[in-house]
Amino acid sequence: MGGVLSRLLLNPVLVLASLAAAVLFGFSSPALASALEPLGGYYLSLLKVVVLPYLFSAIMSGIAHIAADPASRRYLGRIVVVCILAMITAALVGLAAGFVFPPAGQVSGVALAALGDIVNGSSARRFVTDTVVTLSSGSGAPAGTGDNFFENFIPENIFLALSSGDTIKVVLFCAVFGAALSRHLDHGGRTLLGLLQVVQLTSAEIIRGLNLLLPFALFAMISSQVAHVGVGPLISLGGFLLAQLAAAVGLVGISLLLIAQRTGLSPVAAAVRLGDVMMQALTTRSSIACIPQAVDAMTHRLGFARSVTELVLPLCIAINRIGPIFYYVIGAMFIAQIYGVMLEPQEWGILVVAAIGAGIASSGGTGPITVLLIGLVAEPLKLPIEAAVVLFIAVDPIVDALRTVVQVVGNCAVSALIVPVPEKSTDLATASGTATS
Amino acid sequence: MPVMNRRSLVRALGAVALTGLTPLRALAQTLPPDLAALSARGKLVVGMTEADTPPFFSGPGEPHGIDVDIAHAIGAALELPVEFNRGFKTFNDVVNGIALGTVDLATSKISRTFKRSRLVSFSKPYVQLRHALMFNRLRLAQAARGRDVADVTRTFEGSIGVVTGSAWVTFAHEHFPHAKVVEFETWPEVIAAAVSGSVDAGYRDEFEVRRIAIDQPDSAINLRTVAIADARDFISVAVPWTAPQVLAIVDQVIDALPQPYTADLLIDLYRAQSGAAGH
Repeated sequence: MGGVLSRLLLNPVLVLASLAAAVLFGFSSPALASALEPLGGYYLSLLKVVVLPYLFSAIMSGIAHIAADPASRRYLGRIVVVCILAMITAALVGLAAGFVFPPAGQVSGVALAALGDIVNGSSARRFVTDTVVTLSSGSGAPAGTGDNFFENFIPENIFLALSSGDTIKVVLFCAVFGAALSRHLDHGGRTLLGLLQVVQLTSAEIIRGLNLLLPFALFAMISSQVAHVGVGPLISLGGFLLAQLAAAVGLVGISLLLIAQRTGLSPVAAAVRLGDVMMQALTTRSSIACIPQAVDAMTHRLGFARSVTELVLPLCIAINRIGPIFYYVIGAMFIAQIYGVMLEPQEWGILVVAAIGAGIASSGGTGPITVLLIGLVAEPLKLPIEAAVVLFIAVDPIVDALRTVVQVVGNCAVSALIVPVPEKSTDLATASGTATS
Repeated sequence: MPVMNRRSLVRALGAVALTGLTPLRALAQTLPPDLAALSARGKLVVGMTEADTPPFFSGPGEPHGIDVDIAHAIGAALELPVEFNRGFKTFNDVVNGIALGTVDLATSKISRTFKRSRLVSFSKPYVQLRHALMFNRLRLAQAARGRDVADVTRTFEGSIGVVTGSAWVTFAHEHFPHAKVVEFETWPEVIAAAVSGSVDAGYRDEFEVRRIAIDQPDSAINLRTVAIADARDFISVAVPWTAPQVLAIVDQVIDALPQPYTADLLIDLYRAQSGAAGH
């Protein structure tokens, strides 16, 4: 009975049907749909509460194993190289998508007025000025954003970092601690690793259980988001959304091709096996929350080596930020186009580098925080962001979904390139798209 | 009624006794000269610029608006009919018109400045607005060099667009000594220049700058509006310096106004007006 129920709830047809129903419900009854928003929030919180322990234990034990085993140190070099290549690829695909589908290309007249209305806010507002200043100073020293940039990466208090979900700091701590731990494996280090392993398995078990709630959580989350976004901004920012979609499709396509090439499957078969991971990424819009599912899919269904995947994939999803990178590239192109700025060749280079930097800085952030970091790209190019940020936030629920899918699937491909090629085992022959072990 | 001192009372009674005039007629001869001159003319001529400035004064033909209402209230207090003279191109021209005697007073969204106070007298203000700038967003980003907008505003070195012959030319030189002041014939020309980037910013009061978002929603993409909290624009009625009694009556009329006009209220009035007109 339990088995039938779980297979029913995880059936992709049901999930897709729930998605379609949610979109329709969100459009038809926005008020009711908005009321459902807390339910989606609870589901997401439950997911995240176990994912951080999972991440913590997976990365720490992974690093400890790698540091202790000289043979597997080659992975570290490979991780760095592949990640850098992946980030550059993401930026370039973003550029290409932005050239083929200009994000602000056709905006003029009525569309510009509609965008202006979004920037001004709702009509109930009394059209106040953007800012208020005084001519007699409080002159403070100009706050350089660069000074505090590195504070984002150095952990000061691991428990604080864990409780605030500060992923990069958690990862850095795990790396340092894990490396140090590897020197004490014979003095009780293995016991600690054993404990961490149990934490990992337990977290994964909880997440599997939570997945049974996915169709309902999906309905709550998607319908409330559709109700929030409304149709207006979707139309006005159509070009922007199209460019983002094109880049996302391109990067997911490249990723599936790479995975297919490494496993000997067809890209479609690879897509099917990663189907539920992609669905979870689209709906939860939290790449961290998808990690256990992704590890499961890569190891059980695609046959990659478990121990290495369990280190590489969580690490890459946490800090190899290919999702935000293409988003920032297209966002910057949108701003340049809407203000009629023609970028010089060296400015394109600055754009790519700044987008990669902003992507790395966005680790652990969500939604509006991620959007605001586009300032890191705009500032060196001397582009204004205040108006554009309001527009981007208006459609962020959709674009965040695209970023997350690319972040998860893209890093699955990165992991596929690093982890040893799987043996052709019975796992692959019997694995189906719906099974969870 | 003017307060009468002992001497004039004696004179008045003497006049009654000597000339047989009725007491009322005798009192009339002691009206302050400025009021007497107006009574003799039989009407109150109020000056306004020719360009419409809603919701202060606008309308083809007979104007309507806040300034029109105040003018009528002054006319009622002086027991005189009001006639509007809108033959003035700029705000400075209206002020000069008072000094030259072409008009008796001006309710024309006149800003009180030191320069103008040397020519005319100003009533107490009936509207107080903060100064405001509208920056071209792209120009601002290019000039900012990492500073925030408050710092850029304080040491502004770019070009500021203002309406020619208005108080804003004076204010711009006073508050932004390092900036280059560019004068335009009309306010819509200033807005267009700021939107296109031919000037770095436009400068006027908070109400006019906020109003742009209502008239041209797409301007929000190109313009960043900034209100200046510690720079204020006082809108007053201007009267000739030779008319102190008229000035006192105008002050009373302003005291009797039902509500203080704030920028928020002006925005609401303007939206109601332009909504009705189908803008």
